[in-house]
Amino acid sequence: MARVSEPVDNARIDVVPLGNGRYLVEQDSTTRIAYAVASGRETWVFLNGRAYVVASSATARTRASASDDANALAAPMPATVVRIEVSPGQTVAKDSLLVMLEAMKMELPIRAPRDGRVTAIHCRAGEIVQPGVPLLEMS
Amino acid sequence: MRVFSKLLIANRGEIAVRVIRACREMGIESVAVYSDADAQALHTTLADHRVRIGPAAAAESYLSVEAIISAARSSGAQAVHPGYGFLSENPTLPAACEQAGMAFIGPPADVINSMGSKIAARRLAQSAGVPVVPGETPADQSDAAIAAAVRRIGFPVLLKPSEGGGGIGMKTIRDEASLAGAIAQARREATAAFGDGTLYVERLVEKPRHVEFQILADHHGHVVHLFERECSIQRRHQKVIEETPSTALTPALRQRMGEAAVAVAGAAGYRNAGTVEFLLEGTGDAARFYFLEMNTRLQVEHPVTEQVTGVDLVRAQIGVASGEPLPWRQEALGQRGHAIEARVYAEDPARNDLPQAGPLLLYREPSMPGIRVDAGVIEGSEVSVHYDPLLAKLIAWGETRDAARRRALAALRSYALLGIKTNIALLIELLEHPRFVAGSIDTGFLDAEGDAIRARLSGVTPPIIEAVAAAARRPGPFGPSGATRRAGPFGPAGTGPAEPATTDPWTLLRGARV
Repeated sequence: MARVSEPVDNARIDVVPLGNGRYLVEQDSTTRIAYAVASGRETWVFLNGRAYVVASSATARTRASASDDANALAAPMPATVVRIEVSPGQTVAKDSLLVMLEAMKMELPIRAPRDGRVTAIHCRAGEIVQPGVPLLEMS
Repeated sequence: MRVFSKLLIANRGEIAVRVIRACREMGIESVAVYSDADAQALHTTLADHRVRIGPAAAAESYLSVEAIISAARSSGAQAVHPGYGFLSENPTLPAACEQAGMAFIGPPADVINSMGSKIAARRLAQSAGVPVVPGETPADQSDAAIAAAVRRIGFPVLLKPSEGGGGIGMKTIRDEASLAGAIAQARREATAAFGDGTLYVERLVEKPRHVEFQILADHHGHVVHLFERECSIQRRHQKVIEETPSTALTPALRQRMGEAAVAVAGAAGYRNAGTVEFLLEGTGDAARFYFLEMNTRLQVEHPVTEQVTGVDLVRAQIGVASGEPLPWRQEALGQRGHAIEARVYAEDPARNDLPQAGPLLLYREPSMPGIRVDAGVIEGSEVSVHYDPLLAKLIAWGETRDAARRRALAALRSYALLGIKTNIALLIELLEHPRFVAGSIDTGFLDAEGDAIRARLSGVTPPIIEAVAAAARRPGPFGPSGATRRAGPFGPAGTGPAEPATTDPWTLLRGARV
């Protein structure tokens, strides 16, 4: 069998790709089947009833602070913009409501991740927005 | 007797798939309806025929009686199965079916109408001698008359503003000592909040369980029940885990409740499959039950009943609608073993159960003894924001409750589902919870224990997961990962297993470390 040893924290973990998203994982002479799919910068992994989303380490390290903001200011899922509560140039306090989205009959508030100023707005009311794309920018 | 050769399913998702499968078994041609969001959905692709009924918005597609009837007409269907949700409890659909000369797989419009009104349903249950939660708005609203009503109903009671709602101004009274003060306070609050001090007195049902009875009624005056389902694990009135038998019922109580369910159905002139819901207070022979409402349709959780009774409820529904008499008497029906259903939702337990949407990059259903999966999706399906986040139901059967529970756990642990977040890990925690294991649950269970359970779901990603992720990202003989996303002519980013050009494993392994 082709073993790919991953030296993580001194523990020896052997991972054998079985094809079609299946992986044999062996640690301390115990074997399990895991499933994994890479999708963009993320890798989804399933093991023993739990799903994990692992960010590729390079992007996670270099984009940490920028992506925190970007994540907070983006839709968590495809959604419709119900209303925009702020305008460019406006100063906002942490947790204040910026944009109200709606998806699956639920309201999804987008709130300011920190104190700051709104520098640009990239959406308009009624628009359907996709996850991962910032709805506005803050300085 | 009318024999159906073609049946239209006015629904989507797992229940549409369930009905299509029943049609196929029975040799009936199936007609799926679909919105623009579901052009490639599993139910659309599985049926013998498909008819587009409108845009993604449910109001203009799955909720449009006009669109459904027009699709049934154009496809030549002789019967319409409504599934659950959408139009299933809307009396206009059976009425329109009747006008169009089609059979509606469900009760007549007037029965749906009377059960749709809480007050009418309550009166109907009372007329059938079935207990309802005792309550009244005393005509004499003096303090003395309210106090008399409280004593008549018995402690503990709830005092509610007659005009109110949302729990405002409600007072719990547990004993005689606090009675006078509570009446005065409730009246003040009701007047302040609603401008009307009229009070409703209702018995407080403490730690209620939600126990419902499945019934089937044919067109020949024959009604049977198919025992209970316990649905107490719910949040915000959405059920999460259901099971049968209920741990709270004794044979004597089961018989009394079953007879009550049949009596309600009989009094209503019920036809086809329906469910009588009860609130149950206490357990065992001393427990008290109260009629809550009747659902005039197939339930999401119908498979647990099928697993323990051996009755195919969808086939029975179609048979009854075609005029067949029910093939069994009550004495012939029994419960064998125990069944538990876990609902798999596309939602993120770590983020307040926020519904999730996206492509199912990888989806592998468990297959093992005693396990049934009723799913509305397959690998590559796109879960959209437009509809209910229910992806699938995992139903486990076992000789005992614990055997069924362990089978459900083993199956959920191997239910690989990637690309969107689901509640599978939460379901595992619920099935392992000491209170669930002990069967000591009520409708407040998830509210009380939910936060502690969710807290166990977060945590750092273990090294073993990082190792698998690293292997999945590494270019190798199996591609950059086991399965890769692909955008193709057949839809947005489905999954394609990265099939190697050759299937000989030893050829493939060349160049890999052995």
